[in-house]
Amino acid sequence: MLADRARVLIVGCGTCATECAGGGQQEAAVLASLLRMGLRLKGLEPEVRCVTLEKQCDWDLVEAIAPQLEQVDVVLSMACGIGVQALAERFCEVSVLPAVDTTTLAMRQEPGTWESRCAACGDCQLGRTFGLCPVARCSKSLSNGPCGGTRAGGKCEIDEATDCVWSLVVARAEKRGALASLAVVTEPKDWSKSRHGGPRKIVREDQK
Amino acid sequence: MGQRSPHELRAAVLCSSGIFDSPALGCLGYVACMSSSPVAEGFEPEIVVLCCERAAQEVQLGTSEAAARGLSLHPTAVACGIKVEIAHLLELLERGADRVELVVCGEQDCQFVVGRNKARSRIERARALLSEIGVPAQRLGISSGDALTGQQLIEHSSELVAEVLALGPSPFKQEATQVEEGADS
Repeated sequence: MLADRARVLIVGCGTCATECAGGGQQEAAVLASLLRMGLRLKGLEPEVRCVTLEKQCDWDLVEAIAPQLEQVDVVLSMACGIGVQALAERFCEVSVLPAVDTTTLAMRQEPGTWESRCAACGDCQLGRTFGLCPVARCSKSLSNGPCGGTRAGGKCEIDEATDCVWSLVVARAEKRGALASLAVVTEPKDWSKSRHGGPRKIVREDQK
Repeated sequence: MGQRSPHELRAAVLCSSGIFDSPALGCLGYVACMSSSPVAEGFEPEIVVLCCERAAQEVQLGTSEAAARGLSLHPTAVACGIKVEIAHLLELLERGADRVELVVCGEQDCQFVVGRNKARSRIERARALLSEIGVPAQRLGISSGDALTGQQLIEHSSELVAEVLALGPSPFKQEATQVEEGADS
């Protein structure tokens, strides 16, 4: 996709993408070097520059790259999909490509390890599940668990290194002396508030 | 190790953690030296050795020893191997280094406890990235030492020369030379 585009601007993102070491300043510099070297090995003479914005999901902040766009053929955004779309919408005259695959809303558990914590489903159940999300952390996103596939030691059947989140829920309920609350069967979740309900939009008149 | 000619090895030991506050400055200072290498007249391996100050405490001694043997060492040190980011390593390669070697402390000597292990993981990551774009992973290496003497550092650098000769010159070195020639004309 870049073969015929000699002038590339790599745009890192200084917030979430930096935190997850996916698309911050360091990663942008690495990608820039790799791209320059890789394209030169193919006989091309690329002009690859990089800049990192404080964040790419802010209409005001993305303006910072506007002066550079006359000198570039393609923009590689290292932000999440929100940032990519923000750049593509604001600078629609330039080709904006995603440089990363945004996976989930995750938390760093330890250096070098990020685990999904939220699936942005629009119908939060954390109050009922003792602060552990089965939508993001259960392989089947079950509303009632654990399932029959839980391994000994409370691990998930799909991966012995993955905790069964429902086992964690039960353990936490026991610790609080509230195990009985889990005996109540949860009704089917309202997925219309998630992606199944079409594009989601939040409007707050008081914020306008 | 046998005596080598003055042109057989040019090793640089970049030092002072301060250069990594502004990595481009540190690297540019060295690269100006690298790009002047007369590639067309014969391959003179340019090896950048980034050395933890704990791994080689006698770099200054190594400098004088190296000079006596016709080698060019530029004494510097990094505070810890983990202070060298992948971007720094790639920048050096991109600017024409034939090999970049990170020398970290021995197993029991790392003052940052896990610094050397993290540096090793980082090197492996960088090597994988290089392979992905078609650059031999052997362009980048890591080794360790326990308070290496200057003499040992020179020996180590010299051992790398054979590996680099087998790889041949960096494709980016040629380009750097051309750029500089163009700038002069």
